[in-house]
Amino acid sequence: METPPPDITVDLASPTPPFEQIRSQIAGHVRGGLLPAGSRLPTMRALAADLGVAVGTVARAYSELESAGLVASRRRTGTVVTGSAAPSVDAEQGVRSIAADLAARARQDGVDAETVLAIVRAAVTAVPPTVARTTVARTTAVGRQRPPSVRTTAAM
Amino acid sequence: MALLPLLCVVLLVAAVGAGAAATRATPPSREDAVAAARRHARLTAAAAWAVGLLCAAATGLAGGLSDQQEGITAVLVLLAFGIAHTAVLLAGELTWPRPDGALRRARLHRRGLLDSAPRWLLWADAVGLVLAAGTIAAGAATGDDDGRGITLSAADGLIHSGASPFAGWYYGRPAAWGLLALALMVVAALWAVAERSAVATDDDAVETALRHASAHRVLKGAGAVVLFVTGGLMAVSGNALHSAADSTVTSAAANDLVIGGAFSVLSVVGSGIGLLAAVVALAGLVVLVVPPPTVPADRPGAGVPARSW
Repeated sequence: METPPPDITVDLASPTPPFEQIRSQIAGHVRGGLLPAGSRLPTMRALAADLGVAVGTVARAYSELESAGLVASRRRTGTVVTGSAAPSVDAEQGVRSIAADLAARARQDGVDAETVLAIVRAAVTAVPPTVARTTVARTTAVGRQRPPSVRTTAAM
Repeated sequence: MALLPLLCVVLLVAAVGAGAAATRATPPSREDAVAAARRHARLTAAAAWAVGLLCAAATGLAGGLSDQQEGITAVLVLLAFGIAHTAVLLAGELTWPRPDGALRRARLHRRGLLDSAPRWLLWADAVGLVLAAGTIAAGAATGDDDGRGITLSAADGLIHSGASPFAGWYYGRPAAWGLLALALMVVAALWAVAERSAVATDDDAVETALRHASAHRVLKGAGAVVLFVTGGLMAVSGNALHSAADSTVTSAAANDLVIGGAFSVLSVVGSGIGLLAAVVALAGLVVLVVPPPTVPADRPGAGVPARSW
C-alpha cells in the first residue's frame, strides 16, 4: 500500500515565521525519508493556497531549501526533492575531526579565522554537487543556531 | 427556427440535471470548511449555467435571423454558452474559500493539471476537438469558394450538383476560433482547479471529490459544447455531401451519362457522416447530463471542533 504524502502545518500564531515553519518541516520530511529523492513538491501557488499564506512565503521556504541542496527547481517537473537522509554519525564525526585539525593548524600557522572560512567555502563550492548536497544538507540541519552568513555561503 | 431544437435540448438537460442533483444530494456537512466549499461550488455551478444561458441568449438575439446567418448564429450560441460557462467556473475556482484559523495544514502532494479530471470526460472532449478540427479542415478544403456549399462535378464537367449549407470556411472559421477560445478557457480553468486551496477536512475523500467535481463541471460544459458544435457541423456537411452526390447520380441517370460508382459511395459516406453526427451530438447530451461525483457524507465524528482547520 502506498504511503500517503506527508502533511505540513503552519501556525500563524507562532513566533516562528511561516516560511521557516514550512522550510523546517519539509527539510525534516526529507531527512526523515518521508520525502525521498525525486518526490515532487506542490507548486508554490498551490501550497500557498492550501496554507492560506502568500506565494512569496512559500517561495522563500523553497528558495532556502534549494540553497541547502534539499530540493531543486526544474522547468519541466517543478520543485523536486534532491536531498537524501542525513550522513551517518561516523561520517559527520570524521568531518568534525578534520575541521578541528584544520583549525589547530591554521592557528599554529597564524592564519586568521575569516581566511580559513573563505578557504573552506571555496573548497565546498569546488566539490561536485552530488557530494556537496549531502554535506550542505546536514550543515543546515545542525546549523540552525549558526549565523545566517555561514549557511548561505556554504550552500553556494 | 433552427434554434428551437437547441432550446428544447437545453430545457430537457436542465430538467434532467436538476432531477439528478436532487436525488443524489449528500446531506449537509457538519464541517464548516466543507459546508462552505460545497456552498461555493453550488453557487458557482448555478452562476455558470445562468451566465452561460444569458450569453447564449444574447448571442442568439444579436445574431442575424436570416437564413444565411442562422447557421453561424447557432454555432456562436453554443460557443458563447461554453465560453461564458467555463469563464464563470474559472472565476469560481479562483475565488474558492481560503483556509482560515491560525493553524493551517497542507499535504505535500503535487496536483497535476489533469489529475482531478475524469478520464472519460477528457477523452470525450479530446475526441470532440479532433473531430471538430477534422470536420472544419475537410470542409474548408472541399467547400465552394464562398465557404457555404459544396459542388460536385461529374462526366467531364457536364454535370454540376451543389448543395448547401455545407461547413466550409464560412461556418468553419468562427467555429474554429470559438473552439480555440473554449479550449484555452478550459485549460485555464483546469489549472485553477489544480492550484486552488484544498478544503480543510480530515477526510481526504471529501477534498478529492470536491476537486473531481470541479474538474467534472469544467469538462462537462465545454465538452458538451464541443460535441454539439462538432455534431452540428458534421450533420450539415454530411447532409450536403449526400444531397450533392445523390443529385449527381440522379442527373447522370436522367441524361444517360456514365459516372461510375464513386458518387453513390459519396452519397453513402454523406449519410454515414450524418449518422456519426447524431452519435456525436448524443454523446454531447450524455456528457451534459451525467452529474459530477457526489461528496461523501460526513464520517462519524466529523465536524467535532477538535481541529480549527
